[in-house]
Amino acid sequence: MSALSLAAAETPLERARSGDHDAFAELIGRHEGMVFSIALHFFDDRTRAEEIAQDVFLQLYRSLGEIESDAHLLFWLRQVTSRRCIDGMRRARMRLVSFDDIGEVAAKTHAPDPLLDRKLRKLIAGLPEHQRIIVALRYQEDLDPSEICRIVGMPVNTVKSHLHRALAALRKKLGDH
Amino acid sequence: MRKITLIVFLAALAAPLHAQRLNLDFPALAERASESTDVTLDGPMLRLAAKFLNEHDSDERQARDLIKSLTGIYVHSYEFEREGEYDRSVVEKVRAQLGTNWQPMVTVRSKIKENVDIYVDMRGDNVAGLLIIDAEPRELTLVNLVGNIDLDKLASLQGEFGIPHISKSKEKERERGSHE
Amino acid sequence: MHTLEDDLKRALATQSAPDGFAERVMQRIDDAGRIAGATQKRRNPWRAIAAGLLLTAIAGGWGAQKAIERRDGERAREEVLIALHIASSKVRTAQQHVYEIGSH
Repeated sequence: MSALSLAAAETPLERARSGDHDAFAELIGRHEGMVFSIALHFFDDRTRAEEIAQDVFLQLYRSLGEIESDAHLLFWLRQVTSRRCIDGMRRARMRLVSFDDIGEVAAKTHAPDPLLDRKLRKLIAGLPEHQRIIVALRYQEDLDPSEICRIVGMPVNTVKSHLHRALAALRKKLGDH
Repeated sequence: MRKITLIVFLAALAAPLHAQRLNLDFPALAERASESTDVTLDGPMLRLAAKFLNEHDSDERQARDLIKSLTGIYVHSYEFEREGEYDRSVVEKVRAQLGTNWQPMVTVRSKIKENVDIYVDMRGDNVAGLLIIDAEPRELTLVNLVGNIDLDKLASLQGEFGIPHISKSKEKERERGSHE
Repeated sequence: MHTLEDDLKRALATQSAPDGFAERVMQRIDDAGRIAGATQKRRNPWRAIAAGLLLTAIAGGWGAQKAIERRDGERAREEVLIALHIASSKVRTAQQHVYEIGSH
């Protein structure tokens, strides 16, 4: 294989590992939405979500040598983002809105309410940290509990339990029957 | 007398140049509401928001186009625990602010669902403002957009709600009808 | 049938990162690289430290200003989107009624 075709066969990940900044920027472009959204759905705060997301990619830049494949990259990004979100919440000095502070929300059974999504995101941001990240990974990333448990480092039954409790709490707040 | 006439004449000429921001702030409503949403964005804040709307997202790009010609966005939405909990005379107080340049565009009346009124502030052939009053049994929403508004563009803003475009759903209904 | 899970998938749909996100990350990487390079050159350590402190203070002030603008801008952006979506849904409701009346 010629040097030219070998270079052409390299993925952005491989090129980024070799120090190609443009390739790293391409990796950011591919995954920034996912990383930013996990943080956004955890904090319901775009500024904080961007701070977390930037830190994740900076850490990725320093850790490129450990990333073995595109699949590993995806797993790594989800895992590091989840950990940074939980650590970020623990370090925060500001008072978080507790789940109990968010008032009852009337259920709407007709066409989607423009404010419902916002209410849902606020309710999710008031869940305990592990429930919050598991709900985000389940419904944003469409991962099942067996995939989520590897990311968050918990037994699968614990993940299922957190998910079940989160949904029960959300249903209660939304008044579903 | 001549001086007074001149002043009145000049004031009448000047009036169409100033688009009207309506007073939609009713503190008593907010106190009774179980949940309220208030948005007040004037010119400088709209220009700041435009800088942060993502041009790579089609929804946000549309939003940026819409607000280019606006000088104010004012939204107040109140939800209540029970039906009949808010004073419907608030709606009349809002309507009482509308001068002759405000024209009713759509009026929807329903006994069980929502009553929706849409008014436009017409200055010649140009739309200089929009008022939406949506009165439901347990929710009141008041929207005032000040500036030149493209209503079709506004209606086509899908957002994350995925509400199908009206013309498409009407086409589907026609198709179903033709198969029966 | 409309479920909570449907609402959650919709509410938690992936969103685009803010404009210029990748550029800001690359800028931080470049800055970190420059700082790492600069610390290797040290003739007069006290002068370098003083200059560094001054630059940090200026950058910090500028950074704080930018952070405030970013925070206010993101908030304004969110409010614009909420307001326009509310207005849009009400206009569509009214349009729907007009079409329904027109089709009878």
